[in-house]
Amino acid sequence: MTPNSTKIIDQYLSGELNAEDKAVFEERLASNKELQEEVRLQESINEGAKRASQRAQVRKAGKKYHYQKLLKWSGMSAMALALATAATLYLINPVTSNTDSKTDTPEISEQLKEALFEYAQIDNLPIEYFSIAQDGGVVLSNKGVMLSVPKEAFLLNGKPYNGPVVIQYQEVISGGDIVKSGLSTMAGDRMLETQGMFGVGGFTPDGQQLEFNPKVGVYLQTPVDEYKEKMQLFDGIKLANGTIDWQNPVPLEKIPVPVDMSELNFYPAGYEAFLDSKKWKQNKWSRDSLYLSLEEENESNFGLSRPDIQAGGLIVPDHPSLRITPEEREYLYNDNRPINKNMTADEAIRLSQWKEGPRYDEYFKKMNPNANPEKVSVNLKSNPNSTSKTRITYVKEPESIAADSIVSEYASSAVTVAATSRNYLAPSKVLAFWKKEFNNTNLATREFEKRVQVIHQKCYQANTIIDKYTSQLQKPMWQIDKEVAAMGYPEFEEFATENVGVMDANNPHIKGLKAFYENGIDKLKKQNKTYQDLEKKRQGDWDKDMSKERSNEQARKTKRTAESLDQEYKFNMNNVKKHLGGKSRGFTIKHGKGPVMKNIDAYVREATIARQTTTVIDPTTGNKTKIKYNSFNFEVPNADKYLKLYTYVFPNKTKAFQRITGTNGKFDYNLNDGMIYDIAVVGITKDGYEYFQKMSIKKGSLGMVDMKRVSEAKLDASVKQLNNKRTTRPMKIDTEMDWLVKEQKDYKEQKMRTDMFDFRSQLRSVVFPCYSQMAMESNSLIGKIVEPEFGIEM
Amino acid sequence: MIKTEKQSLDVNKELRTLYKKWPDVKRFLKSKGCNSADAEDIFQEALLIFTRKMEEPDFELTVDSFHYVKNTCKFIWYNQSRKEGKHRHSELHDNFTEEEDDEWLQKELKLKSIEDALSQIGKQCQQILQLFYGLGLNMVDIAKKVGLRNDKVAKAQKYRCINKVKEIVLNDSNNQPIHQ
Repeated sequence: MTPNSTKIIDQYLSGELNAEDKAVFEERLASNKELQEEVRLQESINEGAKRASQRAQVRKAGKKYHYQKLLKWSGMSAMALALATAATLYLINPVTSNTDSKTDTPEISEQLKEALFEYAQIDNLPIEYFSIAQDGGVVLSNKGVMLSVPKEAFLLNGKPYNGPVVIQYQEVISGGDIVKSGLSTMAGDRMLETQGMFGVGGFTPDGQQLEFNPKVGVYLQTPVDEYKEKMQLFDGIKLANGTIDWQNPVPLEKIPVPVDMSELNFYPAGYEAFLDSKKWKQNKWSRDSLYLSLEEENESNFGLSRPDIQAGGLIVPDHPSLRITPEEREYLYNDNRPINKNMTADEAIRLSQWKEGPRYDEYFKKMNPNANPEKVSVNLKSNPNSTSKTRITYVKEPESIAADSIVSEYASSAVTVAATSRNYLAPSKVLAFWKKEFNNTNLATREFEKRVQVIHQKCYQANTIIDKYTSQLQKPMWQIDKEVAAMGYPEFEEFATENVGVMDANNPHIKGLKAFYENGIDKLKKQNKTYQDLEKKRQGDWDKDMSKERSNEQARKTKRTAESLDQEYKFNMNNVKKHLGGKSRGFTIKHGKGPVMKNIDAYVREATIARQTTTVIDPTTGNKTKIKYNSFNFEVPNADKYLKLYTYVFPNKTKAFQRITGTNGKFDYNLNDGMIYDIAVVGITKDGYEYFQKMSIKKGSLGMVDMKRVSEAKLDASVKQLNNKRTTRPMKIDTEMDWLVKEQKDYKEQKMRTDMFDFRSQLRSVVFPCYSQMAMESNSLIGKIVEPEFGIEM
Repeated sequence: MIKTEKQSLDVNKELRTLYKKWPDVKRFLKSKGCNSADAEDIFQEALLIFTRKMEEPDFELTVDSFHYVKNTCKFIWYNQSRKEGKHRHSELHDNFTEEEDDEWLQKELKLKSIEDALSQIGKQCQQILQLFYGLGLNMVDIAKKVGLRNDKVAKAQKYRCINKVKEIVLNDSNNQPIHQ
């Protein structure tokens, strides 16, 4: 093997030989085993070199991977230097570098490196140099340690140094390297477990040594295989014998571990447990929207919507084609909940997204239209005779003042209301950051989750506290903890000692996120308002509809009774005339005590109204005839279970039908002897209808009747059939049936409202620690003020 | 030999994707008794072998690339532990039934020892050889890059570098021949 042969082989392999030389070489090669061997060796060296360069590519991918992973691991931060040395000024030949621009990084010349060599802290370790612009920067070391050098991270002669910086850096991370570098891991006589040792120093571009600025410092983040609790930062002190002793341990600023927002829980304590106990919907979406609906404080407004207080807000032109159909309702809500027939499909869709929307109206606002939207202080002394000396101080938002004033009036106590903020953490403030956009910020961490749990307990100050965290994403968490502690919350002092730092101070999105958060709150509030308006409108429309339906029913009832009476009177009158004949004027009627002279028409009318058997005597002829009524009765068992219980009586001789109400399920009704009757008993229950029918009745007792559950459609069909077959052109019963159905649905609606209110105030008192007292007071009060208008006197 | 920009981008992308599976491989290798420190070396070796294999004009990947890399890891690990006398596994050939492939892999592992020799020469030498044989740069550019006066000097330097490697290889291989 000679240098010369190397050259010619290389030329041969690289195809650099001309044809003649190549031929000669190949000839030699063919016969020379040693040469063949040598060519093969060189070939593999070439290939090996190629391989080495490819390996660099693989390593780069690895480095990149670990860097990205790094953020997910944990890190350590050095607020002070890792290996401290006495700062001595050392001037070397100044290197002129162009530092006009704040983002220019200084050149690092070989001379500078040589000059700085002696500062290197750890012998036998390669030194890395990084050039940092005046405005600071982040660099990555060979082993993937991130160094963040912010502006003014260093001091020069005790003053913040504002200029480009050259960082001298050494690192040992793996155990093997530690041994190689001869570093000890001794702290006094204790062995340390190490996750890395670093030497860091800062210099001006002309080689002046800089001191770490204790207020800013350099931040190091190193990849570790596992996060170990209680890792501390030690200062390395070179001992006389050259070994390094590690001293002055400082707890590391703990970098919060990013957790995906979807894995965190920022609901108030007990929220999920409460919903679970009620077997409430599991999905996050529904739970979020329920939580958002708690945004408004005036839960107590529920149940106050009356026909005379019509909800303002959305005006949707009523057009039949826009109205929601039962099929759509089924599709949207998956149940048979009552729907407002005036609601458009579009409204219904929006409302269905709300699912459990708030029951809300502006009743209290109307009570106090002059409520000052700014801070308000109201002094109420409604009852001068009150002996109560209790003074309750509320801190609430203006909308609720009117509510408070009513409370105080009824509670007969003087109340001072000083409105500054709500007494619980606003759901919109929570939901606005609980989004994937806030991943990789301080907010998407277990540490913050823990704090939010405490913040929820802070009632009046909760909103101010959370703002501290959400508006300062770039600040280390411990600093914010301290700020909050200074507001008078010692728990946060404890948090501060956890020393949780900032996730990624250099995250360029943080600024944008702040605006995103603010917008998010606004959007959520608007969304909530929209849903509330929709629900308000739905309830308002429903109630309006219902009351219209009821007044119509009253009118129908009056009309029907009159018609029925009139028709039966005519029927009786005809019968009487048939028997007595002529145009008689005078009568003797044996009814009650002895015969009394009366006008025949009036007598027949009286008999018809009284539905009593009456003997009519023609005074002129002495002929007698009878208007005969037979008693008829039956009983419906368990009458209390019906919200409404009616018997419809269908005579075969009159067009009108009659609706009669029993007493405790006992029905007693005298039937006209000249007619045949069909009866239908309709009971409205909480969850549907029960029905009984009997045809061709003249008189007698049916005893206990057997009510059977029927569907709305079956009920409708049966009743209509009875009505239609009895006589020609019977009085229409359709509107009556519609009303019955509507009443049943209204029961559901009212039930839903009460349930919802109960559920929500229960929920509030579970999740809002300062809510319960208020809620209970106003609850009992609401019960007194408003008697829900269930049912109508018959 | 000169890779186009696009190709090298593709390779980088593929490598990054495969690297994301590192925790899987780590777990896998650990389950086979390999320690963490060795595991990543093996993984990188397998990735390297994979990228090189991909460059072969007639190579067709019949399994998914991660599968290939994982199998290669297994192969390397068994090979390594067999040398160290830790294992006597017959499992080795499970997924490498084709003789040819096995041979190719053995060749790769031998090249690795050349690489080791290469890593013992000076930085500048390594750089020159890698730039020339690896990235296919011309000597003029290489001279500029490593700070030599001109391509002639660089070329002379290159021969010296090759010589050094040859010496190391031959010295090392007194007992154990490196190449066939």
